[in-house]
Amino acid sequence: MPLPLGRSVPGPAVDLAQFQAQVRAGNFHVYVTRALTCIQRLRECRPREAREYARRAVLSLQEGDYAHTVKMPDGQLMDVYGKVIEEDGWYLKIEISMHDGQPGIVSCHPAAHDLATRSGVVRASTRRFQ
Amino acid sequence: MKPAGTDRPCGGCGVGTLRPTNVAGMVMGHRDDPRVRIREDLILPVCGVCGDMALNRENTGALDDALERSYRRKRLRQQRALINDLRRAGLTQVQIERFATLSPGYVSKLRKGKLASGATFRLLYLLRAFPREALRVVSRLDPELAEAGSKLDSLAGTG
Repeated sequence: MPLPLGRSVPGPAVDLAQFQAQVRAGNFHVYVTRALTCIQRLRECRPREAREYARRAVLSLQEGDYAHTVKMPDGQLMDVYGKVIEEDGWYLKIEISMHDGQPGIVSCHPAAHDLATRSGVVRASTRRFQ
Repeated sequence: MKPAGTDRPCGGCGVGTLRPTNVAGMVMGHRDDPRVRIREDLILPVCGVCGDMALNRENTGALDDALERSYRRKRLRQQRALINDLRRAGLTQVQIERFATLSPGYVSKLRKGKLASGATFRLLYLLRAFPREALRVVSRLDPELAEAGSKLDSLAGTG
């Protein structure tokens, strides 16, 4: 049975500057399936290097890169950003866990679809990553 | 904040819960190998519904170390087997080194535990899979390898 999808709600839900401060301090978690594994496959790198790549990607985000916010079935809010990294469109999804307040990078991979951000459209990547 | 590693809702699916789970036996990609099996006990937060994991710095380091140990073990076993097969097929160490443009003595180092680069490993893999064809083609670039190819041809003819 397919898992339910999040639905779009007004946002952003996460203060980007505060999130980036936590990330800069190393206080964050990264999800494996849609972040670490995708980066590892693309860069043939190790988990530590993939985590560092995700960290740098999030630190490069600006307010204008914000696309939309999704609400997961359990009520968790996540902000989606689109960013051109190394001439390729990337999809980044971040959260502050409503359960324990921990910052998390849920997704960090080449964009599968065009993303409308505040500063313009980030085109989908043609790279395969899954 | 609650300490990292305690039960937490999964952000990957928004349905399950991340719980400390022993991931020994799990297969993951690592470096240039898409299938590396974790061969030691390692407790990581895993979602009971979608199987995703959320890793903090310590978790990531522990996973990296475990995968690297498994990767090295698997890769060393494979490269030793490749070299042994090539030697049994009649190729000398020098010929293998010439084929893969390795420095003299490098194959010996690989047998003793040095890890081959991904490119070298793939060259050796190709050479073992198609020894005569690979030698014939590469001998156009390096005529000294033609002798090795001829030797394999004659062995195949007598075998």
